[in-house]
Formats: sequence, structure tokens, C-alpha cells
Amino acid sequence: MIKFENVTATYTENVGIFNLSFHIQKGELVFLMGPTGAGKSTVLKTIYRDIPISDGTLFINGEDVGKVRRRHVPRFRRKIGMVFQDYRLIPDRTVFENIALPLQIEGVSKKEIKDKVHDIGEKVGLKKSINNYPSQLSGGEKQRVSIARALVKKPLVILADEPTGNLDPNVSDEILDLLEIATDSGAAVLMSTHNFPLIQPRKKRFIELNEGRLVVQ
Amino acid sequence: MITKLLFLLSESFRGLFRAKLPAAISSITIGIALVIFSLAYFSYVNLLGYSYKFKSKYRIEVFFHNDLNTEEARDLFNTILILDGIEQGDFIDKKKASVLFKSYFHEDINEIIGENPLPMGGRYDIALDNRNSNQMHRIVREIRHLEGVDVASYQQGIISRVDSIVENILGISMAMGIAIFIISVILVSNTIRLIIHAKQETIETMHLLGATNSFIRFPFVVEGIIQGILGAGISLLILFLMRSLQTYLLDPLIKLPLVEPANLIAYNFIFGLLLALIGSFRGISKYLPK
Ligand SMILES: Nc1ncnc2c1ncn2[C@@H]1O[C@H](COP(=O)(O)OP(=O)(O)OP(=O)(O)O)[C@@H](O)[C@H]1O
Ligand SMILES: [Mg+2]
Repeated sequence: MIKFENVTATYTENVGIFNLSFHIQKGELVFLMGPTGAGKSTVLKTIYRDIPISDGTLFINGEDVGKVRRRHVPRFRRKIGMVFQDYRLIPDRTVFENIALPLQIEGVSKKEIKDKVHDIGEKVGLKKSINNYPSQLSGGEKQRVSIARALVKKPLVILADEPTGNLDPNVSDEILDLLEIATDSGAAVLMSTHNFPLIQPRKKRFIELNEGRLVVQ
Repeated sequence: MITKLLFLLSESFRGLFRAKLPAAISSITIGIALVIFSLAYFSYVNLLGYSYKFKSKYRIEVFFHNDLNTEEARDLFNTILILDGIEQGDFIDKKKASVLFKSYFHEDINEIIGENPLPMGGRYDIALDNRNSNQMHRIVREIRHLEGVDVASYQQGIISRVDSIVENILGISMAMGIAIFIISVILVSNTIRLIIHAKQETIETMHLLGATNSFIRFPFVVEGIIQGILGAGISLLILFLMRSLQTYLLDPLIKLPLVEPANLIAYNFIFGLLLALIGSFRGISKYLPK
């Protein structure tokens, strides 16, 4: 599903990610570990085609990311669900509208949107605040909106950039559950974190980065 | 496809209501630009109208030699009549000449001199395309070369002055029109850019979620169209008020036979939309990834 083959992507000559190779299967949840500045977000942004690949090949669901044309980037991105480190919620839209956005971009019918958004909203525990605006939410609730928005389309590839960053251990664990549930329907999930104690009990594979290079797999 | 369109349309209206103040500013900017535009166009049409009216009085006067008999004079008159650039003419026989004389000098020439010494001749109107000093000069020269013509003349000084005034009006209004248009486009696109600037992050997020440029642009362009229509409405309202004021205040003092340019309403809407469309395209293109 996600396949890195000697991928290098850089901001400047020696900042970025270098010569990365790893493979994440369908239905697998993999953690991306490493200290701050190690390049975790960069890995996810490369998959998201936010940063160009300078060397190597990267396949997402069989598609060579380096070969996706500029004008096909929107179509490519729609196949991926992304939870952003900084949430990226739209401030003048309610929780419902924020979660609905990926579906509206696809042109899904109103009724279907309503069903799907309420469904996922309930799963992530946002039922009560579904009509609130982002400014009326706590950090943890914003995080959940961001997750719900990534999951609402049931994408085959889910990228989560520190989705538990600001949350207490209990809530973090719930969010991991949500991502794990997503793998049950075949999604490949790559989640970055530096919270080792949180992921340790899950006994999942993890990829460790340091200064843009692979440490252990 | 239809659901997407409906969604985008509702987005556009929400955009307007969310950013009421900037939307109002942008509509008013368009409105004011259109008022200035309309007034310039209005003055231009009126000045041109006056100049046409004035030019319709352009004439060439011809006096024939006194030894021509009436038949020969008529022939000569007709020869001139079919010259290039002559629209129509009046044949002036001796009797008519004395009537004209009387109307100018309030004296009867027959009584003064005892006979009528006035020459026969013609008075010619000029065809529309030839109502300028160059053409009239050419026609007069042609007439002077004809056998039997004594004097042929036109109001040379005035005509060349009017010519240069009309040319200036044309040039100045053209330059002003272009200048006003460019300034309005810049004003409008900057106002719209302000609206869009506030939504920069939203645009970025939409893009990260896989929205295409046209999907992102659509609501802004529809907003622009609405602002253009509102702007045209504002402009027409102001123009209407101005006209009422003019009728109310000026008409009792001076009667200006002002011409209302045809299609002013249509032009307001067309230019309002044009301004808004160019403005919103220019405004948003800066914020869309290439
Ligand atoms: N847009 C950018 N331009 C230039 N350098 C950047 C840019 N974004 C990140 N970097 C640099 O790339 C390196 C990797 O950054 P990245 O955001 O991938 O780290 P991270 O592992 O996600 O860190 P954190 O745990 O703090 O989120 C850092 O040294 C960072 O300064
Ligand atoms: Mg990061």
C-alpha cells in the first residue's frame, strides 16, 4: 500500500529525509517514531505529495507518487485521509461542515453526507459538539474533528501526524483504537508519534527515524 | 455534479454573508467606478451629440457669375450637386437672393438700386462623412475650378476649430476611459484580495484535502458576480438620483437638451460583471498553487 524505495526528499541539501525504504501492507498500522525534527512530518508530507521526491520511488496504492502530474494532485490526495499535526480545521465552519468537506469535494449527496458525518462523529465522540465552531472546542476535540475528517471517506491510506499530541493517555488510547478499527476494513495507517509508552503495549511494527534517516524497523 | 454545483453555490452566498463588510466595500467600489464610468460616457455622448448637431449646419455657399442665364445657372447648380461629399442643396435664383438679402439687411435691394444685381448661386449641405475642414476644403476647391463659379466659401475658421475640439474630446475620453477601467480593476481586485486574504488558510486546507483550483475558485467568482451585479445596482441608483437632482435643480434655470445614452443600464451591468470577474480572478490567483 505504502512503499518507499530509497526515497530522498529534501528542503535544503542536508535537511529532509534520505534514502528511506520500507513497506506498509494493506490493513497494517505502523508507527513512525523519532525525536522532534527527525523528519516524521516530512515522510507524511512526501506521501501526500506536499514535498517533491528528489530520488528513489514511492508507491501509494500502486501509483508512483513521483509521476503524479501537478494537475492530478487533488485527485491523488482525495484517496488519502490525512490527520494534520496542526489540525487544519476551517475556523468559520462547524464541526459537521469540517468533517463533511472531503465528501463535498467529492460531490457526495447531501443525505449521504449527513449519514456519514453523523456516523463518524458519533464514533469519535463528537456527537454533542457537532454544531460547534472550532473556536469552541478543546484541543482534544479539535484533534478528533481532524481524525473524523480523515476517516469519513474510508480511505485506503490514512496518515496521522501526531494525532495524540495534545491528549491525555486515555483519550490517546481511544484514538489509537479508532485508527486500528480503520485497518480492519483494509486501510494502511501510518502514524507519527514520539510517545513510545503509548504505542508499546500495542505490539505494532514501528519505523524509527533520526535526522531524516532510518534507524531501526 | 449537481450536488457539487449546489454546494458551491450555497458556499458563495455564505461567503457573502460571512464577510458582509468586505463584500459591501467591494460592491461599493464597483458601484463608484461604474458611476464615474457612466458620467464619463454620458459626457462623451453628449459632447459628441452637440458636435454633430453643430456640424449639421456646415454649408458651402456658391455664387455664380452674373452673366449666366437661369438655365446655365441651373445646370451649374446640378453639376455641383452631384459632386462627391455634397448631400443636398438649394438653388438660389435672383428672386430668392433678394429675399435672402432682405432677411439679412432688412432692406429691399430692388428699391435701393432699382434693379436686382444679386448673382444666382447655391447653398449646399455636406454629407455626414465630409463634415470636417479637410473634406470641405477639397470640395470647395473642386467647385472653384468649375466654369461659371465666382465665389465658393465655407466657415473655415470655425470648422477647423471644431474639428480639433472633437478630436481632443475623442482622445481625452478614450484615455480617461482606459485609465478609469485600469484603476477600477486594481481597486476591485485589491478589495477582493482582502476578502480572500482572510481565507488564505482555508484555501490551503481545501487544497490539502484534494479540492481542485476550480472548486476553490468557484465560490469566489460567484461572489464576485454578485458583487458586480450589486455594484451595477448601486451605480444605477446613484445615477438615477443624480438625474432627478439635475431635473429638479437645473431644469428651471437652464434647459440642457441632454441625451441619455442608450444601453447605459446594460453597460453598467456588463462593466460591473467584467470588473468583478477580472477582480476576483486576479484576486484569487495569487493564493492558488500553480
Ligand atoms: N518547510 C520547510 N522548509 C525547510 N525545512 C523544513 C521545513 N519543514 C520542516 N523542515 C525541517 O526538516 C526537518 C524535519 O522536520 P519535520 O517536520 O519532518 O520533523 P518532525 O519529525 O515531524 O518533528 P516534530 O516531532 O517536531 O513534528 C527539521 O529539521 C525541520 O526544521
Ligand atoms: Mg512533525
